[in-house]
Amino acid sequence: MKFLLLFEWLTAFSLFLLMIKGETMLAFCVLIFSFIYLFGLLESRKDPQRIRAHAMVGGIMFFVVAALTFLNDLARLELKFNLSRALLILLGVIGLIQARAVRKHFK
Amino acid sequence: MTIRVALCGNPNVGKTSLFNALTGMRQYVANWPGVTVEVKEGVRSWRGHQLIITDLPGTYSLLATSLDEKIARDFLLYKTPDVVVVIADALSMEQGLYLLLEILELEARAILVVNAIDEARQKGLVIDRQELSKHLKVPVVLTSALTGEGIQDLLDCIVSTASTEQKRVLFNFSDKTEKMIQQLAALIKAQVGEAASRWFAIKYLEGDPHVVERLSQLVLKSVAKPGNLKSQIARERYDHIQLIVKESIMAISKELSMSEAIDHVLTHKFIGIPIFLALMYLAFNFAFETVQPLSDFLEGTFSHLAELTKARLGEGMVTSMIADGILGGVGAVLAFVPNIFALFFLLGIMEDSGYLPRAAFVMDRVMYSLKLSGRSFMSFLLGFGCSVPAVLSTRGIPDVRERIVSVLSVPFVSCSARLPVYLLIASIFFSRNQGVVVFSIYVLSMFAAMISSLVLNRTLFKGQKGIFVLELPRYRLPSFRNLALYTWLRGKHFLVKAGTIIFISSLVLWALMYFPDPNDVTRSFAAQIGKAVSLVLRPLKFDWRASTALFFGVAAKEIIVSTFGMLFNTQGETLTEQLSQLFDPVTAYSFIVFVMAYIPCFATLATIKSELGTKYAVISVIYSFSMAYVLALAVRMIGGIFA
Ligand SMILES: Nc1nc2c(ncn2[C@@H]2O[C@H](COP(=O)(O)OP(=O)(O)O)[C@@H](O)[C@H]2O)c(=O)[nH]1
Ligand SMILES: [Mg+2]
Repeated sequence: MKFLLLFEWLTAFSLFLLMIKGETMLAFCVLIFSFIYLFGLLESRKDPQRIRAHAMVGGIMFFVVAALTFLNDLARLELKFNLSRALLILLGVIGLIQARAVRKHFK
Repeated sequence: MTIRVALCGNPNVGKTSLFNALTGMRQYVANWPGVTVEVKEGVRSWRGHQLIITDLPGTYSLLATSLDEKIARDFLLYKTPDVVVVIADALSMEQGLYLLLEILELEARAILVVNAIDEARQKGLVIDRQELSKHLKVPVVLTSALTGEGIQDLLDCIVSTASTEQKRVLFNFSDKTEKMIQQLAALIKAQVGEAASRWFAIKYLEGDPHVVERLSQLVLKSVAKPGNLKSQIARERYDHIQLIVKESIMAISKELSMSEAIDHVLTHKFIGIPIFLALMYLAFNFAFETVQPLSDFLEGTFSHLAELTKARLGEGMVTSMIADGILGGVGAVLAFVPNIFALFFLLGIMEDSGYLPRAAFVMDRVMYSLKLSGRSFMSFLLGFGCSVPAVLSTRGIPDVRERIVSVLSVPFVSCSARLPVYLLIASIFFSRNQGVVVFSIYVLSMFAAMISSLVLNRTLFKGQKGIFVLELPRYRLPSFRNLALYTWLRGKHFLVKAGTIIFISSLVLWALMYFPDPNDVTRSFAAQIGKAVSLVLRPLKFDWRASTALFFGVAAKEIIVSTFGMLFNTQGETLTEQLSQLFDPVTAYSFIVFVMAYIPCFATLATIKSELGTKYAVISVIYSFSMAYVLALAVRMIGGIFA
């Protein structure tokens, strides 16, 4: 689990660096949400529920950003397929899948 | 037979949902404590009886400490309904049972409803209704307002309970407490009557302000001081409740629940506030940018219609009235309908999922240092929709001082009516950074409200810190029906306004601009008003046209947009092209800052007046106008450094 979080955090952080020039505000949203994963990494290993909580909420947030960004591109009729969009969509899709997978663990 | 039924319970347990299910009415329900601040009534006929059902504001106890609690209590005390339905939340019954114990002391025919039973079942909780009923000695019904389960049982139960004899179920306190109660009861019997004496004695010992005042002539201090046993009584009741709950609920697991897991992250010490800001940004960005093509399309349609009218009807007064007055004025506002609906839709998601109270909770840390509780932050958040419900929602704030401070500060929060103004100005002067500019105004408006609270608190009231007692509701996936209803009800308000106030004032404005000389708008009556106003606004560099718009915008903020729509409605050029000559970017920004803060609209002022009196409405006008002036000047000066 922690391995996945680390991978996601690194991806999200590079995404932030990629976007900071062009889309500053969006980049900061990505940065903030990446901290959700980072703080998940900092949770103690003995408390898997907490780590899962970070994975779930982080996943939902990235799904939300990815979906909203996609809608926004769609509305302006300029679908972009550059590296940062690809990464964002990747994070969003993984996020949704992991949120669905993890949620079984909660009552 | 007519049966009068009152629904009461803690905030957010589903009273209004049940009310709707029982009466078939459609009151808006929110996943948000403190929504029902007024008393609502509905009628239902059932098996030959007519049930008059009242939905009371949520209350935690009958010790009326805030206005909405007082409303609920006075209703129970003085309107004496035939049946009192006490609603408790299946997942946190203790608070609800506490209220029930208090109500039972009132000699009422009570029914306990355990609501949201669907959720309890999902969580693996089993609630033993017979056991509960045995201990509490009242009928118990398990319901779900969501699935409709138990609603018919409840109706049957109301009818059968109404014909039973009135009885008082006594809860026996510990010997020591009982002795004190009986001593007091004996003393006050003469004044309040035998039947009520026990209730008065208990409330006196709990320190209920109204009871203490009523008994103030009697010398009771020798037996006990008012409020002497407040915590003792509460503890004894809770101990008793704990026992009952233990007997009648069987839970299965101790794992982290879904809500707890989500809360662990969203109310995180370090990232809670950043997450809130990021979500707000995403929501606003959606409402301003993603939906914008739709708005552009509408704007184009209206100006097309105006040209078409002119071409068909030829020049003349009627043409001008339709093309410039109605299509120009009302159309300019209607063009923003998609943005407004999108904003309400997203606010609706945040509200219904249960996130907004969390935001208030997270911000409570900041608010606390401003000597305000997160409760007023909730009112601020409601203010993004409309200031009127935001002002009304301050009724839930127990502290009068804090309530006044909140009421005076709430109008600074940007309501949806101001959105068209920001969008119009931002799209012209800051087209590349439109989203950021509008978001910055929203953040600024939040800050203005908070700073205003801080200043008022420090200077006028010198108050103490409020305590935050907001209970966090569970997270829920918003139901589409509820969301659609929410968006529609709020958005409809905007449409109605466009059809009434804005329509009429557009016509008035048009007349003021058309006369006395249709060909020279600078000599019109409106221009003369505007020029007079602009004398005051000269330091801000708002010319007579901007001043005219601001002057009429006091009635409703959208009118600013319709005024521009009419003032710049000459043929050939669009509104956008013409407006761009009106301001330089710094003035444009200071203009929207001014619009953000200046005088609350008529509807809000009327609400303030009815809530706090004329004095505070006047104070609010003066206060917000000065604040707007100062802020706009500050923008000018800061902008002057960079430009
Ligand atoms: N799952 C579930 N949700 C409910 C039920 N009753 C109410 N709700 C939800 O609880 C929230 C608060 O309901 P509301 O009627 O406004 O509560 P009030 O403050 O007591 O009037 C809303 O989001 C409702 O949709 C129920 O029986 N089951
Ligand atoms: Mg309600």
